[in-house]
Amino acid sequence: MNSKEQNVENSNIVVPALMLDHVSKWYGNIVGLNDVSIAINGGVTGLLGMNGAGKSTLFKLIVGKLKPSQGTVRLFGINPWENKAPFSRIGYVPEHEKLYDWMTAFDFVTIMARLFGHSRDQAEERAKHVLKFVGLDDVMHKELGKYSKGMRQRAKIAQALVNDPDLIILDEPLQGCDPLARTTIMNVIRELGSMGKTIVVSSHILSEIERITEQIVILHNGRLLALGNLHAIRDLLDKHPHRISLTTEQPRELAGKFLNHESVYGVHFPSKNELLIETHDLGKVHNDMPFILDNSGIRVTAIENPDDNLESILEYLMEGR
Amino acid sequence: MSKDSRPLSKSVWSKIDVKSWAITEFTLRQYQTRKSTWSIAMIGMLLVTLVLLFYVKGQTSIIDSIDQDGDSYDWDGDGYSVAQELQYGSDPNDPEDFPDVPALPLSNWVDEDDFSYSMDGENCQRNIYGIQTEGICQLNVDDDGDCERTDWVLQNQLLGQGGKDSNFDNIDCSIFISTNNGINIIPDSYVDEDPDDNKYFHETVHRAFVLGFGKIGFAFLMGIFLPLFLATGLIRDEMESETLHYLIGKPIARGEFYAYRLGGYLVMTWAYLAILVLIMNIVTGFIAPSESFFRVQDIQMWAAILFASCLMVMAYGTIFSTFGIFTKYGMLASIFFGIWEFMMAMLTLIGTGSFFVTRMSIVFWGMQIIDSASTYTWNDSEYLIEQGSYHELEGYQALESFYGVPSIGSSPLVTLFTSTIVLTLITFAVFFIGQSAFKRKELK
Repeated sequence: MNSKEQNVENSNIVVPALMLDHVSKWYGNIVGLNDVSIAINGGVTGLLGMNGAGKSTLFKLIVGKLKPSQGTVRLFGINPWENKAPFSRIGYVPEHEKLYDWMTAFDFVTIMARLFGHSRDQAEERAKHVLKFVGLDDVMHKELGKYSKGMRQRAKIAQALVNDPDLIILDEPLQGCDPLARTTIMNVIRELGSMGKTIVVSSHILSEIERITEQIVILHNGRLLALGNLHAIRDLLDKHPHRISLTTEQPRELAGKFLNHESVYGVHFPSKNELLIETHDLGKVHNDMPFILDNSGIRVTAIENPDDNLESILEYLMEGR
Repeated sequence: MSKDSRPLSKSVWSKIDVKSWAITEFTLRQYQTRKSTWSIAMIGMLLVTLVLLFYVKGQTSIIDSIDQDGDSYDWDGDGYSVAQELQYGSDPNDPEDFPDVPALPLSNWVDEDDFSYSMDGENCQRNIYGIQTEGICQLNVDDDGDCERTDWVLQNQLLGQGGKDSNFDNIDCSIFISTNNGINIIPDSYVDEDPDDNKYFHETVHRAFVLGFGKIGFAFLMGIFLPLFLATGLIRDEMESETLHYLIGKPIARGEFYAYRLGGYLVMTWAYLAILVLIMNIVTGFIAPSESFFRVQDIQMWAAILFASCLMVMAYGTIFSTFGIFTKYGMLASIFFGIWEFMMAMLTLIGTGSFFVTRMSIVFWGMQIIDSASTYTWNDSEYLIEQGSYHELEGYQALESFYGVPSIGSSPLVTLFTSTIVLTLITFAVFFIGQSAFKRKELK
């Protein structure tokens, strides 16, 4: 640790858990991350971006797997590439699902705890505790190779939590999980957030992030596109032309009911059983929709918001640039 | 948990005992689950078993003794051997002339004068050419007494020029041993002239086996193949399977992690080698020629073989795992390195220390350790080879093939020490390079 870092640690200044200052990463001629600056301290932050946006590159820079081509990364004020000390306060859940399939979850998490310097007894206690926290206590002596995808993700989260970290980084933790596993993992993340941890969780699915956090960072093509409160961004989006798709056997009758709504300015019939409503105020239409449907007595089998996804937000944000 | 209990300024090398054993134990458990570990272990065990079977067969076989001096024959058919006829002054070629004593079995004069020299007697001094200058350098060499006795009628005729001192070393019935320009053994006539072929064969074959299997089986083959399969992927496999970050995403310096991984590898390979060497020592110890029920003197030889093998798997393991850190083609690089080592091993066996290039290998230094130990354990091997060569005894060529004179330093002890230092330094130098590369390696 250099003297500058030591001074930062020793002073009373609150050092953000995670800080990136004009960080860029190039792979030859390919830009992985371009001039990203953020500081995160406390709460759950969602890192949104399409595949290839630079989320994993950003995480690898944070956990010291990659060295920035430009700029500085600091974890609790310390450069993670040069000094491993901050890793005693970090838990990292990688994107891929590779694990030591021959180990039981208990053994795996225990070994991970021992790598933090805990004795075998302490490590076993911690392993039991975190495995219970993620809901794997009843199957912790089963080999990881026999786990479902959701259970594997939870085992990965357990190993990240075993040292009671202050900063937890989760790279696409919900990818490939079934609905039950998603719900469990989201609950775990929310609970960790409520415990005052700093959590950064990445996803390319907006609705997932929306269920666990308000604070988001959006990456696109390696650049930081937006940073802030999700509601504020959604509000902006809601004022933008939006579409709602309803699947029903009586699309024309239903269209008549919606055309009376002040926020609806157009309807389309893409297929025989589908009604597409165009609106400037998505929130208001959604609020009034239950009454409209109830009054009409028409049965609707599915409601979708084709524009309520990350691509649409990105498209919208890019338009403003 | 209080953050005060784990200040960031605290070195990541703290709690070294807990982390080191955690990684070592993890590495060992990982080896246990891999088929390659069991395959290589089984192959090694099979190799040892097969070789031991050949060894047992060789040691239990009987070599027909040859009457080198021909004194057991009964040329004239009177029932008395040449030796007995000469002893009592009768004509060995006249069937009517025989001693006035009962005839002894002809086999009494087969193998009746085995190698029984004493390397250095009282106050033995030699000049720089190895020639005796003072004192007595050879003792008790005429086992059957046919040189020492004076009552043999034809003795002077048979001994010819020089009488009892045909080698002109001023000692009757002695062996003149010159160490100038290699070993030269010149015995007086009727001295050590009829060695025990069977005993010689078993002794030389035993030594050849220990040296040969120690050098080729343990030091070279085990030394190369154990690291090739068990060390090359120590870091690389984790990088390729993307599981490395679970292990290094902790407050552990990468160099520290690499050292502990190597530690796990060494615990396993050293334990495995120790078991194999122990098996070899026990089996050969009970079967090999020995005056007691167990050949205790070989323990130090096997200990040296184990020591050399351990140093070699350490050196090779560090080199191969470093190859693995540098490139995903680490296995290929290791195989090329193995080919180089094979060539050097052959050159070392052929020329001992005469090819300087062999010093650019690991195997040379490992073999030097074994050679050093063999000169301490069996300090008469060179003489044994020379005697076997002189009498064309079965077994000497096997020993000659694997016996080597330590060629570094002024004494075997210096060679042993130097070789140990060299192998350790190579290991540490390569480890330093490897951990530096690992520390700077980006994990994409």
